[in-house]
Parts: sequence; structure tokens; C-alpha cells
Amino acid sequence: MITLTINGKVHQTEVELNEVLLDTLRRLGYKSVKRGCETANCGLCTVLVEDKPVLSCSLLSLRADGKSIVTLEGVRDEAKILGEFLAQEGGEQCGYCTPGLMMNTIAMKRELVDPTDEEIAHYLMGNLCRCSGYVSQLRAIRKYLEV
Amino acid sequence: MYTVRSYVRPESLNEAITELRSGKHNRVVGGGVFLKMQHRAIGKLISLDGLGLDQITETEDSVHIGGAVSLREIETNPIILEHFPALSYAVSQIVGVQMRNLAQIGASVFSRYGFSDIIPCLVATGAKVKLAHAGEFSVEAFLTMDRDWDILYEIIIPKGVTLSYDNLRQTNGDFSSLNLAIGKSSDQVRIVYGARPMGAFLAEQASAAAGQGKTLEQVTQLVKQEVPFGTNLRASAKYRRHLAGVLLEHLWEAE
Repeated sequence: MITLTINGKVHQTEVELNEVLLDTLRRLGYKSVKRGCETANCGLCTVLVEDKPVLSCSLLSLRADGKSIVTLEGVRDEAKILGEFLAQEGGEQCGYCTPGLMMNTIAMKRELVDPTDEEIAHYLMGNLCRCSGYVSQLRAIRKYLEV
Repeated sequence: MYTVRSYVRPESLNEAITELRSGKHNRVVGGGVFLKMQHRAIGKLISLDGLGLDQITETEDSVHIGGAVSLREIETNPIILEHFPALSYAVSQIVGVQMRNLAQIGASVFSRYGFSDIIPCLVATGAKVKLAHAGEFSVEAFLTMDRDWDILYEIIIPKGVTLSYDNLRQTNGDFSSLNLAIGKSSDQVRIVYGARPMGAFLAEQASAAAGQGKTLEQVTQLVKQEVPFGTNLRASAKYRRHLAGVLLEHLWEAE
């Protein structure tokens, strides 16, 4: 039995010894957390653990015991603002990468002060998008950072 | 995906090494990023999370990095940025922030990955590793020794070494096609190539020549003679041999 505080709500749950946080979160109903490459490359499964962005596909659930976790469901207001900028700028097409991109962008806004375009691109290097070419995403993120 | 019979979270390093050595299928989990991609049956999976190995400290003559320090912490830590900014830069090139928040330096070095960006930097500085069972070794000695069923719990980097680093990647976040770290101290130069695609290689003749003030052309010639390069999907041996001179020129000119 492990205890996870997810978006401020305490969950106690049994997990398999080799279960990763991605599977635990989805089983508990946090379906914003998406399954992507599962090889720690695409960034789709990003959640915040103790306020730091991590890949939930690679973190053993047992090692998250006692930790605070934030998923996209826990940052709805910020995600709504960012989502509107992404839509305005054509920053998504298929939309599959968007949950992970949003989580990492929100983490970046909390961590970096007035980042340059280069710093933004570097911070978000672990979020792959095969539709946008990143330029429209960068425009949207620039606007979001100014809010 | 691997299977696990039991999971333990020791309270001390002694307990951890005892647990590890109690069965040949036992394994330590570091960041867990590469472990999850392996297909193996693990007996005890041992977490080091409770051992307080996630600290970076310094003494008058060295920097000490705990085995459970994340790569992201190495990238952003003020002590590393002050003494070894090139190490911070090298780490910052690895995949993405989310992965670097998980991956730990102890596991990364212990695994001796050929594509490592960290190990060449450590060899170039003359760093040492501390192993719970076997003791203390230089990183280059560690790279060739039998190291199974042990725990790398600390890395010690001597101060007074100026480290520089460069690499070539086909895309951001990919493994290096080749990387180069150079450590300069008052009495020696250490030129180390990694991702050849084999592991880090200290070019001893080229390093000695650089320390004696030989020209870039002379040192490059020695590098191409003594450093073995190989071929994989990312680059051919011939391309890597050419690239070795280009990276050396970059760092040479940057000084």
C-alpha cells in the first residue's frame, strides 16, 4: 500500500512492484496523463512530483510513496489559458503531445524567470511534437509567459 | 519489462550492500529510466532513496556528489556551476528536463554506458568513485574493473581542474555521435573521447603532447592514431575520426 497526494487529494492504493506512476495515475482516474513512447523520450506522460516535472512512465510508483503529485487536472486554470494561446497560434494539430507540453510549460514558468527563446526551447527539449514544427508552440508559450 | 520479487528501501549503506549481495538477481534502482526497458527477472529491487545520497557538497580541494543526485541537480547546482560549468553543460544536453529530474549520476556512471556524456568529463577531471564494497577508485580504473553487486555512492571531483566539453548530436536530445572532454590542471592535460561509440577513452599520448605545448595539428594527429573509433547507426568510424579533430579544434580555439 502506498500513499500519493494527487492534486491535493490523498490516495492510498496497492501497486505492483514493477508498476510505474503512469499506470497508477490512470487507474486512479487521472486520464490526462497519456501513454506515449514509454522510453523516456517524448515527454507525453509528464507530471509534477514534488513540483518537479518528471516522466511518469519511468518512475516506479513505489518510489512516489508519500510524494505530492500534480497532473493536468490539478492545474486547470493555467492549462485553460495556455490552451487558448495554443489554439490561437495553431500550436497543436493532432493534440496528442499537448498534455505533456502543458505540464512542462507550466513547470518552466514556475522555475525560469523571463526565459529567452533559446532557454524555452532547451527546457522543452524533452517534449516531442510531430505536427507543429514547434514555432507556433513557441509563439503561444511566449504569450502565456507574459500573462 | 522486468519482474520483481521484492522491493526494499534500506536505511543505511551497509544494509543496502548486504541486501544487494544476498542474491545474484538483486539489483539497485537509480533513476529507473533504463531499468524499465530491460527484460529481466529481478530478485530484490533496492532503492537508495532513504540514504541521503542526494547531496552535492564541497571541501577545500574537492567537490563531492552523492550517487543519488539527479542529473538536473548537477545541471543547476551552484557548486557545480562555479567549479565545473562544462559538466553542467554536458548534462544539460541529455534528453529533457523531465528525464534529468529522474536519472541519477551514480546509476549513470555505474552502468558505464558507452554513450555517456558524464563519464568523459569525470575522467578528464581525474575524478574518483566510491563503491560500498570495493572501495575508492579513479573513474578510468572503475571503467575496466569487475563491479557487479556493488553500489556507487559518491563521486569526488578534484578542484583546480579546468574542464571543457563539446559534442556533436544529430538532433537535440539524441545521444552524442561523439563527445570530447578536456581537463587542464597545473601539471597535466587529459583529453578524453566518449560515445566513440564505445566508452570513454583517455588519449594518453595526445594528452602528454598537449601538456608539452605541442601544436593542435600534432595533438590531433596523435588522437587519430591512438583513439579507437567504431561504427554504429549514428556515425561511422571514419566520420568519428574526422569529427575528433573538429571537436578538438573547437575546444582548443575556445581557450
